[in-house]
Amino acid sequence: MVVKTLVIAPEYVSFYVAGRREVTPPIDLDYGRIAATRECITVPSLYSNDGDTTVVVGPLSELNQTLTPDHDGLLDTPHRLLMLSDALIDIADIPVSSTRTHIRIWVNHPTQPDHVVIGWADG
Amino acid sequence: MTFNSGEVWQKLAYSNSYLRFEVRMLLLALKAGFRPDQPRVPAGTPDGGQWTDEGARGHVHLASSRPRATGRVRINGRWQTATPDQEARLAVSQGRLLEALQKVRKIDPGWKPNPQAYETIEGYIRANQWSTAEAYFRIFQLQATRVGPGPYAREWIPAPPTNRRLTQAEQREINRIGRKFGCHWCGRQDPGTPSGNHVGDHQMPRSWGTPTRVYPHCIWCSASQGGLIKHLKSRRR
Repeated sequence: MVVKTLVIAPEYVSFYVAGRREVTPPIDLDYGRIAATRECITVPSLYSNDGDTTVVVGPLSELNQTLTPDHDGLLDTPHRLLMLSDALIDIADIPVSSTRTHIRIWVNHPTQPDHVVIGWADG
Repeated sequence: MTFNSGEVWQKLAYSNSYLRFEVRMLLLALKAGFRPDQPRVPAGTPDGGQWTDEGARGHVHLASSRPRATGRVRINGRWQTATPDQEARLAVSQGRLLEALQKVRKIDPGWKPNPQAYETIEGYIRANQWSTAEAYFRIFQLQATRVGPGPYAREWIPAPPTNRRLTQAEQREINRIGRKFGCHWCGRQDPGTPSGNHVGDHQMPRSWGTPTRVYPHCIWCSASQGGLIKHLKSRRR
């Protein structure tokens, strides 16, 4: 498994991690932080006019993250794909090995991160 | 020739009773609306054997006698010749418009697209496409509460013609409007970004058409709108 690095500039200051295309993204209307359901995780990102957001995606075993994750939960991945998208475009499809995937996310700012790490493992 | 009165009498009596029976049956049939000559659906079809409307017989057209597509389209009373490509695109645009109108009228029965003026087939296609976009935008406005210009929308800047980022001057102007009137949806003057920049919100949203204006947004309303757009986009697939 390879760790991928993506540079994105989402239009609506957030992007989504899901196992299907047809999802209803959860929104943290109070604080604008990471919000998650079993079908979709909404991850905040830097305002596109302030710069790009770097997203690192890979298996948890290869990320060597020591800090406490900002999100730790399970995601349904019925197609064995981790689908990254923003409101307008599909960003990347990452193959995973299970239909239920354990996801951990680290961000360097609670609402406007420019560096996001997403780690996955079999759920 | 021999003449057997008994046999003749029997034949006459039989004919008489048969005629009376037939007259009685016809009277009953007329009372029930039954007509012996009413056509039936041919055998071999799901409705085979059932009575059918006589009027349908008058509307049967043989495939070979149908008028063939002529490649001509009538626009403003003038016939214009369409290429096969134009014919196909026109049919697609009309189909999509019809579908969009059916969808929007489930929510807003009286809604109509703005009238369009066109003189060419290409113009007709573009008019259909624009009206389709208008219909979807109306659905979008009705279903999503946080899209479209909000209650604090006062001033705006013209949207860049391409999908580029805002220039520094454009961002400064958005910030000025944001500081003065707040986020166009919630009125919050703190945009929530570390830089203090207000998020430039394109209206209409790019996924629904070509934006013409940019309003200031806070990150909370922007994220909320993004979620709704993502949700509606996935429902449209």
